[in-house]
Amino acid sequence: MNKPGLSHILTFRNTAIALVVTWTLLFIVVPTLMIAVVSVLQRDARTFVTPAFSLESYMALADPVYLKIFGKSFAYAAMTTLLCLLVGFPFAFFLARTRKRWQKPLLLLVIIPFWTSSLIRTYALIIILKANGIINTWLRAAGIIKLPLEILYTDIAVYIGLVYTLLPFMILPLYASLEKLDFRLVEAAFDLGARPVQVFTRIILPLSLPGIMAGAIMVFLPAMGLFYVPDLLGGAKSMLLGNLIKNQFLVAGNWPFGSAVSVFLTMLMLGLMAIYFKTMKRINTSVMEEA
Amino acid sequence: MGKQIVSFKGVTKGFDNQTVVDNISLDIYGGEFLTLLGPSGCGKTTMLRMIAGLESCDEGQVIINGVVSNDIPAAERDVNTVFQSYALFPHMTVLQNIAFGLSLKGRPEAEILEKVEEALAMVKLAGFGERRIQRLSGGQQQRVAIARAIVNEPLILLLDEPLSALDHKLRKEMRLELRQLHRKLGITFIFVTHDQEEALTMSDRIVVMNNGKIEQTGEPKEIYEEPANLFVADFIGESNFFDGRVTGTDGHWMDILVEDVAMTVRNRRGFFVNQDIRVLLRPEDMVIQRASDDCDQPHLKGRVEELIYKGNTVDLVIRLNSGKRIATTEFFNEDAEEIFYAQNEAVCISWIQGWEVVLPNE
Ligand SMILES: Nc1ncnc2c1ncn2[C@@H]1O[C@H](COP(=O)(O)OP(=O)(O)OP(=O)(O)O)[C@@H](O)[C@H]1O
Ligand SMILES: [Mg+2]
Repeated sequence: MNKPGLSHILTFRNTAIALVVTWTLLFIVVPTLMIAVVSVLQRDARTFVTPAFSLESYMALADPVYLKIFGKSFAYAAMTTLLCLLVGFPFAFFLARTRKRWQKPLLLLVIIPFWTSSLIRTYALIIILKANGIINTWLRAAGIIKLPLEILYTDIAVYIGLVYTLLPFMILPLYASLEKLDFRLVEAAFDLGARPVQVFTRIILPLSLPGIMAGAIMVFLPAMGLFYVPDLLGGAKSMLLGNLIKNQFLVAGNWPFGSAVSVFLTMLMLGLMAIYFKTMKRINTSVMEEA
Repeated sequence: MGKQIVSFKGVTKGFDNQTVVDNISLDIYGGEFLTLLGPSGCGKTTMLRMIAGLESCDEGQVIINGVVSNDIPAAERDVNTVFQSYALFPHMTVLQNIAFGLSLKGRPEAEILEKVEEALAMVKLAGFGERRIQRLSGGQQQRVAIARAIVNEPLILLLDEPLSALDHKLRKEMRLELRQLHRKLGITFIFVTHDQEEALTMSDRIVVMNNGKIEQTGEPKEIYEEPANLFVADFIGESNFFDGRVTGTDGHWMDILVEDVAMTVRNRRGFFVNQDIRVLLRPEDMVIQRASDDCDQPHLKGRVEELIYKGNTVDLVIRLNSGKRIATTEFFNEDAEEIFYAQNEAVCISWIQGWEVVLPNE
C-alpha cells in the first residue's frame, strides 16, 4: 500500500544491518582471527612472528608457572564476582522495590561512572587508597587509627578496584530480573510460614537466578582481563590473565604466546556463554513461561 | 455458632492519606463461611490482608483466636490465603507448591507426601503432583492454590476472589465444591467477592462493605430481604425503588403515600409524619394482574412495555402511569397462560403485604 514508505524503511534497515556487519567484521572478527592465527605461529625475536605453524604456544599454556597464574586469575575473578554479587544484590533488590519514579534516577547513578574512563577512575582510587590518601587522612583525623592503613599495593586494593569497576555489570542484570519478580510470591511464601531467610533462599534466589548468572558472567570474564587494575593498585604478586597477555605482547615480546592466552580466554568466554544460554533456555521453557 | 475466631476492634487503615478501612469492628466466628462483599476498592482485600498479617493496621486491634495479633508476623499466624492471582511458585511443581508450607515446618517427608496426596485428592487433582504450574489450566491452578493453603490445616482460610478468573460454568461448579470443602474441613472460611450472587449462594453470613465501612452484616436471606439501607438494597439483587412520604403513624403502623397511592404498612424503624421514604420491592415480590375492577387493593397502575421469556420465569418491564419503569418477575405455575401479557396491556401492580422494605430517603 505505502510503497515509498516501505522501501524507505527497507533501505534504512539494510543500511543499518550493513553498518553493523561491517563494524563487527572490522573490529571484532578480523582482530580475533588475527590473534587466532598468530597464536599458531612461531615466535621470532626481531619480527615478533614468523609464518611457520607451531603449537608450542599452546603447549606452554600447560607450564606450571602459567597454570598457577591461571589459577590465581580465576581466584581473583571468582572472588570479585562473589563480592560484586554480595554488594550488588541488596542494592539491586532495593532498587527494584522502590517506587517507580525513584528507580530511573537511581539507575542513572549506577551508570554515571561509565562516563569517565575506568583507567582514570582507577587512578582516582590510588588517591583515595594511598598511605596519605583520603581514607587514611580521614581515619587519622577522626582518631580511629594512628598509623596509616596499608591498602594500596595489596590484594585488597586490587579487589576494591575490580569490584568498583565491575559492580554496574552485576547490578544491571540483577535489577532487570528482580524488577520482574512478582512480589506477591514473596507474600504467599510469608503467608505459608516462611521466615525471611527461607523466602530468600527458596523464592527470591531461584527466581532471580537468570540475573545472577548473567551478572556473574559479565563480571567474571572482564575481571580476568582488567590488567591495569593490578598494575596500578596491586603489589608485585597480583597478576591476572590480562596482565599475562599484556606482558607477553609488550614486555616479553612473545606474540604467539600472548595470542594463545587470548584465545584461551575467548574460548572460556564462549564456553560460559553457552552454559548460560542453555540454562536460560531451560529456565525459559519451564519457569518463566506464563500459562 | 462457635466462639469468635477473628475480631476487628475499631480497625482503621489508610494508604497515602486515603482511609481504606474506616474504624471497623467485626466478629467472625469459628467454623463459619463469612463473605466480605462490596464494590471494587471498598477495602475487602485490605481486611483479608490484615487478618493474614500482610498489612498492618493504623489503629485498633485485630484479634485472632483470642490473641491480639497486630504485631504477629504473617508467617506465625495460623491463617492461610488463596490469593486472587493464585501466586503459585512458578519454579516448583504442583507437589512442591503444595508441600511448601509443610516442608518449611520441617515435617518428615513421608508425612508431607501423604498430606499432599490427601490435599490433591480433596481438590480433585490426584495424580497432578509432578506437573509444572505452567502446564495447568486456570481452574486447575486455582485448585492448587486452595490445596497449598488447606494442606497446612490452618485455623482460618482466606479466599480473595478465588473464582473471579474462571469462566461462568466453572465458577458455578467451584462454588459448590468450596461449600463442600468448607463442610469437610470444618474451619473458618473468609471469602471475598464483589459478586453478590456468589455471596448469597455460598455464605453463612455476609458482611456488606462500602467505602471502608460495614453497611450490614447478616445471613444471606436477611441481607436480601431486609437490607439495612439503600446501598445494600441497591447492591444486592435487583430492586424497584418507589419514592414516598409518611402521612400518619401510630408507632406500629403508618399511612404512606407511594406514587400517589395511599396504603398502610408496618412502621419498623420509627418513621415520623412527613418523613420522606423509599419503598423497595424485589421484582419477584410484585403481583401483576390484568387491569379490572377486582384488582387487589391498594395497587399502582401501569402498562406492559416489554415481556422477556426466560424459561422458568417471565420478566416484565412495566411503565407506571407516573412514567416510572419497574421490573417484575413471575414464576410459571399451572395457569401459566395467564402471565403472557400483550404489549401495552394495562395492568395493576401490587405486592404481598409486609414484603415491602421501607427505608428513609437520605
Ligand atoms: N498498597 C497500597 N498502596 C496504596 N493504596 C492501596 C494499597 N492497597 C490498596 N490500596 C487502595 O485501597 C483501596 C482499597 O483496596 P482493596 O484492595 O482493599 O479493595 P478491594 O475491596 O479488595 O477491591 P477489589 O474488589 O477491586 O479487589 C483502593 O482504593 C486501593 O487503591
Ligand atoms: Mg481485592
